[in-house]
Amino acid sequence: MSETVLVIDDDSDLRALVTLALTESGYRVVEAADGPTGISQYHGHQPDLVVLDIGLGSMDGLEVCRQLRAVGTTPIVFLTSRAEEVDQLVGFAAGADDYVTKPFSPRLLVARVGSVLRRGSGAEEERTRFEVGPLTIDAESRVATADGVELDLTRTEFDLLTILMENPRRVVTRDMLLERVWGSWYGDDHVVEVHMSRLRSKVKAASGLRIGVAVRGVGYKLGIDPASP
Amino acid sequence: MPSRPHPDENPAMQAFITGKQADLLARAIAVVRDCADADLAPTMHRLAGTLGTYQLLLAHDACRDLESVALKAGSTTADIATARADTLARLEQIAEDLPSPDGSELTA
Repeated sequence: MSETVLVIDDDSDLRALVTLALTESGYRVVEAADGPTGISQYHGHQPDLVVLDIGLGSMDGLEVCRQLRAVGTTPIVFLTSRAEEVDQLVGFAAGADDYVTKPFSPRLLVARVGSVLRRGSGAEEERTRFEVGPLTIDAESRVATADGVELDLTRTEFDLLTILMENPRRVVTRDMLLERVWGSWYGDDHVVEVHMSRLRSKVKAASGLRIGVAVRGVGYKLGIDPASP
Repeated sequence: MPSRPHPDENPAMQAFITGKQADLLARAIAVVRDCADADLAPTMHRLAGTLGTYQLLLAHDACRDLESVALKAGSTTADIATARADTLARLEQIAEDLPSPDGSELTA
């Protein structure tokens, strides 16, 4: 059975193009022209992924994202014409898993959708439980804790933390993170820094722990002594 | 950095994109002509994204240029009017240069 993608965009021209691109690639597509309709369609169709325009009219995409995140973990890919870093940060803070900047190639969007869906389906089958110092992560239940406090992580942040915890004594290169988390990558690798920053902030806010130490020009290390209690 | 559209979409996608370009440009010209100065920056930003995604890259650039003038501190009404006229002329030229819908060549 094909996966269902909910496309929420008030621009009918873009919505038509995105819908055709996804349909041509074998996805079932449900459309919504505004935020409230999108949220209603989300509950009605239980999509596998949501493509969401950040610049919706009456209820903007960030608010829609927050409302969807409050009720589920379905991956969300933002369409945005705002390339500035601050907008990307705000988008990820609201819970987006990835973004595509306009103008975009429909092929690129389809590739991103496929990549995000693969991350979701593959991770649950392959990984188990990791414990490093005060951090624990259970990939089957998708639960991570720091000092016993459950972390509220997006899918991407969870995957990044999993990779760092799989390699607690070594530096994980930026390329490895891109390959493991995003698969085939078409855009700027600044996205790793953005997600890592969010992950770092959430762990620190929950437990006071500092993780995800940047190693200049190479990548990141977990930054916690695996032997610590 | 925005991703640039690929000119090698599959045939169905490419036909859909090419088939919509003339209509999109006609509507874009009307929007540029009629949009109030106060709404110009966000409207051009949004329009540029749509035009670019439909592979009308020169039209995208024209709208972004008008957006820049509308956003620039110190831009006068006259500056905006001049930029608007320039953008309109560019869009009209792009529309005129469009290949027929059954052609595969991308000129914009």
